[in-house]
Amino acid sequence: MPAMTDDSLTTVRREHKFVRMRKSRARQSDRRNGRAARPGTPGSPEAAPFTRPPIERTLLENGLTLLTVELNDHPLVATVMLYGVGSVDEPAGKSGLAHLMEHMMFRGTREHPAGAIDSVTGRLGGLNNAVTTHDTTSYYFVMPAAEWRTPLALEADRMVGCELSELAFEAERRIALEERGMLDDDPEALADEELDRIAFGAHPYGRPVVGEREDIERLSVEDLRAFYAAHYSPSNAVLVVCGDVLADEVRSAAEEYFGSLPGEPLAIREPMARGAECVRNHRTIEERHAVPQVVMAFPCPPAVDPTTPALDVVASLLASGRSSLLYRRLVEERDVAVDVAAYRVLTRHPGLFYIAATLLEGADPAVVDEEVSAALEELKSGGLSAAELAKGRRLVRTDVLRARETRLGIAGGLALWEALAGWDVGWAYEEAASGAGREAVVAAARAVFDEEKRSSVWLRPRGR
Amino acid sequence: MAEATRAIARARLENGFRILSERSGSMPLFTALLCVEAGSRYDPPSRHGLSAATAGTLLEGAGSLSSTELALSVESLGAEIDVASGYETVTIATMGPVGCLDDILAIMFEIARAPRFSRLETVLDRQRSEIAEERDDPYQVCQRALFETIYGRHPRARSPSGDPDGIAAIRDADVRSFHEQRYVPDRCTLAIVGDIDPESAGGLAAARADDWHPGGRPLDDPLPPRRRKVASARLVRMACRQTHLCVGHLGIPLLDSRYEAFQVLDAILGDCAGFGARLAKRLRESEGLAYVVESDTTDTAGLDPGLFRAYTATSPESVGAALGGIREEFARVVDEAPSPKEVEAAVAYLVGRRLVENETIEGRAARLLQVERYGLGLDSDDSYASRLASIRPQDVHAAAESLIDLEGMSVVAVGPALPSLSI
Repeated sequence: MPAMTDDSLTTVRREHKFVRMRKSRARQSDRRNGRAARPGTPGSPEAAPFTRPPIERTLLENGLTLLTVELNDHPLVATVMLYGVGSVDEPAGKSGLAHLMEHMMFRGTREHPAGAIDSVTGRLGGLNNAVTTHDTTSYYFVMPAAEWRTPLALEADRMVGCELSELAFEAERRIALEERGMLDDDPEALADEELDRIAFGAHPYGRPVVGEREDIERLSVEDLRAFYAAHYSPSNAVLVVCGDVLADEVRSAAEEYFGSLPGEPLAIREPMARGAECVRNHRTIEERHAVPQVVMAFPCPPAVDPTTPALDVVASLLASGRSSLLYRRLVEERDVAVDVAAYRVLTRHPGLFYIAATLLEGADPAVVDEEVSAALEELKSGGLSAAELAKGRRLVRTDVLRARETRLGIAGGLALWEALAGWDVGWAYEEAASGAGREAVVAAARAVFDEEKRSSVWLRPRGR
Repeated sequence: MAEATRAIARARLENGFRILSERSGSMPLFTALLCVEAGSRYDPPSRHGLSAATAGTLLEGAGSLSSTELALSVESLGAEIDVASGYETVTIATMGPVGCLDDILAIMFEIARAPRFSRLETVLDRQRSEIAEERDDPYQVCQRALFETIYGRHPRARSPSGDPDGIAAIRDADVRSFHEQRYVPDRCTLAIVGDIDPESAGGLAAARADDWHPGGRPLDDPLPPRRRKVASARLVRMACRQTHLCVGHLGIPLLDSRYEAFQVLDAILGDCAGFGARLAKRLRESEGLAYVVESDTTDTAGLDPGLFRAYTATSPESVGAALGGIREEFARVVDEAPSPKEVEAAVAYLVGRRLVENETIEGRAARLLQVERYGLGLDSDDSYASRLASIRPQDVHAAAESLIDLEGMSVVAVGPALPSLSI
């Protein structure tokens, strides 16, 4: 919930996020049960258990993974088609390719010419969009439940039939350059992108997902065609259909639409270079902006590492709410910041744990460094009270439930986890995160928060 | 497939406090939104920012709880609380596990009724920082400049965060007085939505509100804004890469009889699925001029008329082409009725979007507040699809023709170079 909103400004920069976190456009870019009533009776604050809806996994012969989730309490359906390809898969010097490919997937096929996907979506009362990250590219639809077949037909068509014409490519490249321009004007994105550059060094996670301007300008339609041929196939895709549907019907339809598509063998990926830089690194950017920002990051394990669910509790203890360690220190006690955030991004390879603060005008970023160090020491010392730990777990639990409130939230989470390690691992991860004990939390904090490996970026006003 | 008709419990207490509650959602969660008619619309002329300052102090301590104790007592339950300050209203928003509803309601009412008004200077510093942040962002600078140009001296021209002079003038006594006058039960509406029994949840809220004394003084509404009939252009130089463009003029209030025809117009012209609206199809998909382009008539409509406006951001060398495209698309909706097929598609999109908005308990609670505050009728969602289905192309055309004045547009450009502006 925003601390302050201006209801006169609309959400021009609409973005979908599968997880609630600090806006981070540098790391992802979009194309734009029966229950007993508990009427607030006093009692345990523990969230009531949430019964998992039926989730079924089917592997088609051509390698497409299908997950169906029957959830029939609201007449909507969400579909997510996730490809296991992201900006990490771009050849050196061709940053922005995965993101541009995502844009091109709306440029049409023989069956559905340019503009048809949007017009069909609107005509049926639906929404669509897509998101590219370092590891994945996801396309989604939310539709009235009766229209659930349409997204499947559209996805099958563009999985193999995307028309990559020179003309459409040039138009979409201009749009991508405008998107690049928009990020260049956004102080938060500026700081986030620079942090990834210095923290990841030569690792592909260091590249902005939207791409560097000079790289986007150099891309060719041949680059795009090669990328599409290498990565867009059933064997590199996960399709999730979640909502007021019957699993049997969805499976039959998936066979009908996707079953005949050729299952290309997956391209062998080059082994990744090292992950985040393992040395302390700092950069100060002096810009026109009046409001200083501090962002910092520590190397952390990939999503599948069993120790990582506890990091969600760590993040909650650090920056969820006004009673969190960093909010108290930076906003309440030292009066240097207006907002703080702590989070990690679920990644295939070792990634980063981020801490960010928006400062009061004129505040000294060095104070943030001091206070963050002190808060991290407090966590690592294991001195937190049992009540504090319980609070962190409960807030994580509420976040998990909120993420599962929408069909799209569930479908997005399942698709990502299926691509990373299996949907059930992800479901268990979320449960584990809200149950992490003291030892796990302290161990996770000690493993990640090594001051000698901290990267940070200060964004401050030019000339001050 | 339509949504099932919803069971909503509604109560109005003797002191004027209104409560709506509804069982909705699939998670064991609730949300409660307490909406107070105390937004920046009611800021005194020499105290711009007073509404936001008063709202800002609410979480700094209330009753017997300090700021930290208050936050701890909420968050220890796995719940969240925040205060959002806008033009018409201030909203105290909570969400949490359903088992702690009564505890959270107790804290929410304490915050609304008995704040300590602590740390006012810190709150004001944060407001100054928010204003500075708005001024760092060319998008927000552009939007604010359009509001200033069109609303002139009307309160709608200003940011709800206030302005530096207004904030400098705010004293502790101002905040206390504003709270005493505005935070009264007859200016409050509470919506509770989630895995709750509506009647019981409403009863819990009523027990917390029924000894609250009403204010009794009438709301001092600002005079309606006056529409300017002349075109204007405003240029703001900023060291940014893109040029941000806003074009528009005064629009309609939410209770305008043509409101839903304008929703259809918005879906056709500026805000449909993906990039399927006319402006996006042309400026973005066909001409590659912009990443974002959109327009609306209804988003800012409220008690006062909102704006009819379009927004885009483009490279400085493309400003002329972008403005030309916007003008031509504006002219097209004035000159000719949309096709029946376009209207049918826009209606389907709007009905589907309402389904999506109603999927979350927060979305549903916000909708209940809107329905109650504007007197739209609790059954208004049930008949939404049929009302929209009765809108004909000529209704959309008549709405566009009656509002859009191509010769009276205000244009704002914020960017690195100062282009010649005309529309």
